Amino acid sequence: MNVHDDLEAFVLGALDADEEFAFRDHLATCSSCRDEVARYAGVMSSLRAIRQDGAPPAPRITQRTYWREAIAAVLLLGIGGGTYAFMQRPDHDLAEIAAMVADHPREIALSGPVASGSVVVGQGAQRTAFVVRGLPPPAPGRGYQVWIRGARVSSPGMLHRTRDGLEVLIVPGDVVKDARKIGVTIEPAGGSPKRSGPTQVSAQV
Amino acid sequence: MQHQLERDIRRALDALATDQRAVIELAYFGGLTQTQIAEVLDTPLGTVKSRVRLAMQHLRRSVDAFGVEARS
Repeated sequence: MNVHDDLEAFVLGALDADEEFAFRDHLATCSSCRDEVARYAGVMSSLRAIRQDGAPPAPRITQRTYWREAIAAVLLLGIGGGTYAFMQRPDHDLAEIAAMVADHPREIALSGPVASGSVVVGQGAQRTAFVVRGLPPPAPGRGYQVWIRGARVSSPGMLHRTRDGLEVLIVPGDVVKDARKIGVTIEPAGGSPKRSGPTQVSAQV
Repeated sequence: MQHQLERDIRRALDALATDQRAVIELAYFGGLTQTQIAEVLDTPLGTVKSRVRLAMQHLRRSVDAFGVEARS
């Protein structure tokens, strides 16, 4: 592949470190690539316009769990009028992901005094994602647990904190199909058999 | 002005083919590199790279066109 072909990915910030290093070297000696990069200024300032709060581009994520954070970021931004649930694990083919992205999934808004979030059921009801932003880091030994009240009260699990400070849980299936109320409480880190802590965010369905 | 930019780029993103929009979202909004996107989507790296290139070229054409519209 020609080094010129990395130009768009360079502008987007999607090159790996070694590729980016090589492309910067190339830019130093190639005025036509420098001109081309400059021509992307309009696209990049437009993309920045839809980042919430004018936040800088997402930090590079290097852990194996990066997909979870990517999903959270994409879910919360809700580009193009909908929000998109991506798959939980990177073992799905593109056709399935494309279908999830293309179809607006079902979304339930969660709200609370300091935090807010979304419950998103992906296309085909194959996955449910809980994403909450604005919660303070839980005290040591504590965590945020999701509760669903339908015919009875159940919990799909604990939220996981991302490095961006989002709290995220993605589980298989449509776990909120029969929900009347959804809530998040502070509980012991391993999860509690019944809700005991104060509610952080909730939704009436 | 900010609203105009925002509306234009959303229109441009919506106009992208789904697989092209997905790579832009994962790269820019998700912070992934092309290599990570290839892994997440279980798609050959070369395919991801060409989607990134095509998507960015489409976005640029759209944004340039909106600029012309706004001035005329």
